[in-house]
Amino acid sequence: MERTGLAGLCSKAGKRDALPYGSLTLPCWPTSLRAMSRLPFELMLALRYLRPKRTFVSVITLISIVGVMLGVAVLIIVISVMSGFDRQLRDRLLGFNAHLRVERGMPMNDYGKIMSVIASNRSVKGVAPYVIGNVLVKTEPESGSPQVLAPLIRGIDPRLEEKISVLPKSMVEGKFDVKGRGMLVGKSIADRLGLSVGDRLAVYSVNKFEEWEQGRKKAREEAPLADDYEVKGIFDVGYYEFNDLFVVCSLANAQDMYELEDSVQGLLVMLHDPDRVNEVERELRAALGAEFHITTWVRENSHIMDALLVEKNVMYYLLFFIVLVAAFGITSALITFVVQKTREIGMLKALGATSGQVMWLFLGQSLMVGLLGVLAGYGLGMLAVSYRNEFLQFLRRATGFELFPESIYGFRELPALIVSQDILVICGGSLLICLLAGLLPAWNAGRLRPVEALRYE
Amino acid sequence: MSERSAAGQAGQEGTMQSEADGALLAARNVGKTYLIGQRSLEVLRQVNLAVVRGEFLAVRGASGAGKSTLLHLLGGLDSPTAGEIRFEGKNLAALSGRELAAFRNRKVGFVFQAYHLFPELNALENVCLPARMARMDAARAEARGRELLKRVGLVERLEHRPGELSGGEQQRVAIARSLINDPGMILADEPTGNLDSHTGEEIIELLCALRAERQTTLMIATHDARVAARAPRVIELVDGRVKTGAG
Repeated sequence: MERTGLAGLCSKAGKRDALPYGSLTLPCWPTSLRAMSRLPFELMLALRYLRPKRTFVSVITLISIVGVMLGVAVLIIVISVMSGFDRQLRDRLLGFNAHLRVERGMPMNDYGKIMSVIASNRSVKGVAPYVIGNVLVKTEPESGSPQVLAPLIRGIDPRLEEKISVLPKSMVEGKFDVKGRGMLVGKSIADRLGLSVGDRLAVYSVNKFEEWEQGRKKAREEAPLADDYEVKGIFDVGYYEFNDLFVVCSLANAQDMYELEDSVQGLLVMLHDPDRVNEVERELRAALGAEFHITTWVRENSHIMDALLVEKNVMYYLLFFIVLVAAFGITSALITFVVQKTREIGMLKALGATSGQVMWLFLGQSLMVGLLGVLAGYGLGMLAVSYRNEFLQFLRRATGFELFPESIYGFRELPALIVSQDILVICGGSLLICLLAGLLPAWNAGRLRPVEALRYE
Repeated sequence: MSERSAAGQAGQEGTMQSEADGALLAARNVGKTYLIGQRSLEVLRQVNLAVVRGEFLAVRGASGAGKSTLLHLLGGLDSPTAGEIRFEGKNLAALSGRELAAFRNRKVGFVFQAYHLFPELNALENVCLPARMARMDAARAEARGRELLKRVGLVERLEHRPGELSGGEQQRVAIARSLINDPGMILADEPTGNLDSHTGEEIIELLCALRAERQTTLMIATHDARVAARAPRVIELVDGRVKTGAG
């Protein structure tokens, strides 16, 4: 609060009245005086009414503030963790799967030319050819019986892979090497088949079985010959399905397996910004022509992304109920308060306050409660999001209970992403709910007749 | 109504009509009836009154005579069930809610028996409240508030809350508050009712002095004959009627 600047000129508060006429000492107010509030009177009174006193209403008000705070904090924590999980899942999906897949409905033999057209787009970070197909792999253990699995094989160009996937950086055993008959296997496949780096695998492509079937029809009893590969590395791209589904070999080996000669099945395209995928799709469609079929990561993973979005929205609705319950607290506190202050409302009207001004006085109160609750909830929520992993560790140590087991959720630390738009919706929505909660009591206060209010006992 | 009183009433109405032409406030055939369940309670009947600018008058009457009701009606706090009240020629019944609020804020100053100060605000803030309602600049309102509190002798009590003031001091704050928007009329409803006789005397003294300084119209409702005797003109209310010959 501002203090009067001329304080030093007065010897003692109130003494100026005794000063003789013609005194050269400037008149001034007592030294302890503070400047009056410059706020509109509705807001000033609303703030004064909120000052804690040991009354029943102020206890309800405090409970309402705590309610709003908890609602906002829980919303921020849950929605931030869900956004973090969402983002992490997206990153993992896009780490191994490209943002765009370009195909032509038949093998591409002129893929070099198409790659340069695609690479000329400024949004494109990298483009690489691929061959993907089903194979049958059989382990060749030194002892014991061999095991069989039918994963997908992906043929890659190791020089281009770094620009289109996280595979080169995701090796957990061995190295990123597909030279010769080198093969990379997903961590889950390696675990299931008991594979280690250096183990050998027999790989049968679909074409081998077709050859064998043709041979049988012609009464040739020749068994299909498997291609022999060596496990050079085991990868973990952070997404279970990819680790459990894919083995990787060189593009040339995959082309041989599917008798594609120098053709490929399609091109994988990585963008600088995955959110611009629809825009780039349109540009590439225009540049390449209608014969090409372009699939975006959004369309390809829509089932997962949509499910996550639905889950997040459901959480929004459910958790907003906490704020709603707190808002009922605001309503009940204000109704009680309006009854308590009926005579003062009458006096306000006698002094010339309009119904609107009286209404704003009480709405201002619910707004203040909301604002305090939202601010406290925002602080608590952000703090909890910042220290979420420390809290989980503490919980684990204290109770031995694992809230988010790594084996199920696939992450060592709880992910979280604070999206400013979510924070705005949570804080703005909560504030609006609080304001609406005060509407009915404020309206009631506004329409009180002055004489009746003044006579109220 | 007896013939004599009816004639008196008619004569009084004639006088009122001629007075009302140049009056600040004029009440014509004002009545107020309250409905309590199925029963109706007539509090004011056929009240005619004209008050000229700067006049000081007292409304005297026993408890329940309708003094407060009359003041409430004249101050726009309530509306009559019969007749009309005109302030500066304007019929209060024709004013919208917002206009009526502005009328109470700028044209009338109320002083009540129970002071009705806001316990959350200090003396200065209480005084400045009507000015802040009128959206007067805070600094200007504060300067006027300080000036008025100085005038009523509370310069050292500016920051004191009502709970820290005596009854007489609280009433002084209420008087200062009633004057902050420089209204044309002060309506004081039993302003000494809650005070001891000495303090009450001081309050009446103060009201009279302020009225004289500011040339404000002052109307005091009181049951106390000594207080009423201070006013040059006294209206006596008996059972909701202006006593014949009074006023």
